[in-house]
Amino acid sequence: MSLNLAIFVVPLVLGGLLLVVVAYLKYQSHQLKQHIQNLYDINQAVQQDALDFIQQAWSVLQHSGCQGLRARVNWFGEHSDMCFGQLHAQASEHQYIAQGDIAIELAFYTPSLRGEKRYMAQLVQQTFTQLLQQDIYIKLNQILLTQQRLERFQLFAQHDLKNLMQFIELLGDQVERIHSAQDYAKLIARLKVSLPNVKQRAQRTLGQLKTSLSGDTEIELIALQALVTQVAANLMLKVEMQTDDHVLCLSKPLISEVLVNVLSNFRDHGETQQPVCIKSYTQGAYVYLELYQFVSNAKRDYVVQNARRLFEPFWSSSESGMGLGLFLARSLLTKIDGEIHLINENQRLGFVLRLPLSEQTLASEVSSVSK
Amino acid sequence: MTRIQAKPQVLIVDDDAAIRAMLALTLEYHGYVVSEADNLAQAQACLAQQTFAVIVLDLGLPPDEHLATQGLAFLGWLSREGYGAKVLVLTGQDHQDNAYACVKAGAFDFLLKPISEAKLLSAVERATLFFQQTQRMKAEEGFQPLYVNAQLGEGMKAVRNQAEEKFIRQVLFDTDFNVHETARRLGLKRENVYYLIKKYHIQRVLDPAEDEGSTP
Repeated sequence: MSLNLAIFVVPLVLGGLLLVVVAYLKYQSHQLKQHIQNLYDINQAVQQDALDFIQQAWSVLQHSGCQGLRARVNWFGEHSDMCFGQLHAQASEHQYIAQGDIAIELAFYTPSLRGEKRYMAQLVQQTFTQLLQQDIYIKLNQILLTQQRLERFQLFAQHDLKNLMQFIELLGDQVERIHSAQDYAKLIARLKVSLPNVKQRAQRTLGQLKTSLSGDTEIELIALQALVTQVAANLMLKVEMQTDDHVLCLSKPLISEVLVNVLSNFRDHGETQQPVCIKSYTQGAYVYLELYQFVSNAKRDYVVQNARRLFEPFWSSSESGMGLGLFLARSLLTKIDGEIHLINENQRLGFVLRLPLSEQTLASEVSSVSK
Repeated sequence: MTRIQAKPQVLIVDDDAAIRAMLALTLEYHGYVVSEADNLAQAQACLAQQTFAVIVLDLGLPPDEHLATQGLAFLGWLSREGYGAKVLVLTGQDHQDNAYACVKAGAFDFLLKPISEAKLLSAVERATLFFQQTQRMKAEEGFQPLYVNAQLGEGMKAVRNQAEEKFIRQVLFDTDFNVHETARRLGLKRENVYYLIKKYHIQRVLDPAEDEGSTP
């Protein structure tokens, strides 16, 4: 009788025990998943800033079983200690991360955990260390990139200024030498041709230095067709105009800057043999200006593949480009409720610009609506 | 191909119209006949039409106006095709590597922007003098100076080939690609000249206008 009872009870007890163990392990693994997820979320929230991450991640490490954490930090030559929780005489684990001008020595103080708890605490600490390593790598890369961009920017600005200096130097000598009406006429004839070019180059350099125009530029009436023609001529671009003569009431330097930045792309990266087709039409309170070329499949495929990067600052498909033109064009247009988008239809590749007919009209419309 | 004229001809290759204008005005005032080009294609077209004593070359040309690639490519092309014009590199890119690359590619001088009028004129005068005396040496004594970049320690065959190629290119250029005349000047059979043309893949550089005309 008692034997029969044991046959029933023992499996039941064992089964129950097994269920409890499974439930326990499931709970632990859920906890582990939660801790790791929290570490990723915190890293995201602090925008991969290594120092902030150490500060904020302590609570997660603590919940995973860590009693103390010491981070000895060398941050670009600045040394500091970051201590959390209880620090015993002997740390249970050490990690050392060093890249470039950053070095961090981590000491984890974990009580003598056993089995799965020890394993899980180690996993959380490893994830924490790896994320920290990744943050440092990102930080150093950002610094390196910024440095390279600044050097490149400085080089380009220097180059433009040297050209300007050269022009002034030779012009000065020319002016000094004028003795006859004929000399004078020759100089004036040359200046008439060259000064618009000097102005355009100086504007471009200034535009790059300022990276954005102030919002205080004066609003004036602009004949769009004439302005586009002038900018294209300065860039020595062949154009085919199919535009009505729209008159805009906007800041002329701003629109000129936008056009220079957009049209320069055709000069520097477009099909040199093809003219730039320019079309415009009105829709509501906006003028839409389409600037495009008919291009080869290879050119179109390349641009389409990189479409999402076209407006990224400092991204350029060529070594000689600053990668600021389209970024600046979009930033400037945003200031006046304008837009710029890529045109990619059949063989047509280029940009469509949305320009408000009048900045004042829009402002007054907005204020009347808000009233 | 027309011969050099009494007044020295200078070609200015710069994508900056304002600099071109001022350089042209300065040189014209001092008696030079100036042509202008704002990119490599235009410069090549100018060279196909007339002979220049001096070329004032900006290294940064479209589409890479902030790099030296286009200017260096042009220097290489001039050297390969056998143009005798002395090239004055006038650039804002004062990197030592650029100066080195220009010397290697056969530039006559390396000038940095901004340059004073006096220094520019002195460089142009010197280059003109060298061009004219080289032409004289060729006309009076039949000497053809060659610029060969020989790699030391690589044996003599590469040097011989390079000199041979440059020499045949130069004479073909001087005779306007007249194989018969080239053979006569070099004391070779025409078959040998054809063999060398094939060996070094030499092609005639056509004047763009001439080129268009020959298209059916």
